[in-house]
Amino acid sequence: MAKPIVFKLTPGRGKGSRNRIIAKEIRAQLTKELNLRKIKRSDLKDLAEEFIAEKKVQIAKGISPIREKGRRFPAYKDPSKYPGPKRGAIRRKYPDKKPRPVNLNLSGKFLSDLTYRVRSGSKPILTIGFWKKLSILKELGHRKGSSGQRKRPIIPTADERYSVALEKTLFGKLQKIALLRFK
Amino acid sequence: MAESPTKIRNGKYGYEFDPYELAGLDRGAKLPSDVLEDIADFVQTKMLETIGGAKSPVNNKPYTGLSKDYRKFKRDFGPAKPNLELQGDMLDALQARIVSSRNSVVLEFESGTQSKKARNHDIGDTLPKRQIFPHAGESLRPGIRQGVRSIINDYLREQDDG
Repeated sequence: MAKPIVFKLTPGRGKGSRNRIIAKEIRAQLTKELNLRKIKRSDLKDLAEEFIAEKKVQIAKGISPIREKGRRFPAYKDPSKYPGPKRGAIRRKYPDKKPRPVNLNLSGKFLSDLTYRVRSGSKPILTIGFWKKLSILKELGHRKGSSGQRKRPIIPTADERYSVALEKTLFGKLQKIALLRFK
Repeated sequence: MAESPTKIRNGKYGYEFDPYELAGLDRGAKLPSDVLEDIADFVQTKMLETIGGAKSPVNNKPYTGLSKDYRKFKRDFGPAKPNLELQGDMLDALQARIVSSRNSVVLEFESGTQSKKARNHDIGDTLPKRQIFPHAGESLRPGIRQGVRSIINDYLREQDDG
């Protein structure tokens, strides 16, 4: 069974990857500004939804959400083959699909499967990613560049970061939560 | 007259800014490279996002619409809106880099060909003006300036906290 592809925001543990550095920063911010136990499940859900919405806006404009992968998704190698000509098979079936921007959107199923899971409590955990098998395989394909496609992952690995703009969305939302909880 | 922050440098059309000045902050300590890199990444993303929405990153106003004929032609390549993207080479060429020695960030179009195209859009030479970079006396839109201010303030706060 395909393992879920996820990005976890958790209280960081020890040295290592950028993911943990981000998680540590979030935790530090949470502990400075909030009593961890006061973070509600609904706060984390709001955070996730805003973050995913912002991520999808950027992807729709051809912008990669992962910092280390450059700002724009690489172009299609041969637009005459994919997505092909206007009257070709793909574009007749999906008339909104055009060569630009490169937005990882054909039927819409892949991006609609991008979702989250939350766990509140003394150690809040927010996990963003894919749990459905087909979308996991698609993201793996984007990550590895399967079938000759260029690499266009959207879930960062442990050694990668989200773009600064997306990180700001995350921290900005956390600050708003902090202000709300301190009222 | 104020010098334009946007000019051609080594054949590349680009915009250089001082982050403190962009953020509307008093000039402070030299920013470390990683903070400048964060600012560069943020500004580049936000500029691309704004242009992708067919708006100018300078004033956030919608770009002048496309002509009827060009709109019809463009539909084969992408959305029929003035998002400065037909085959995408020009926006793919927009890169950000830091200049540590000057405590500044540069956004520029990497290739000569794309630089010429970008400049044409930016000043409205043979095309309707669809501004990309600030000119003399101008700045980027408030949302971008606010984000840069936030990055600098976060860094300064970390320094204070020790």
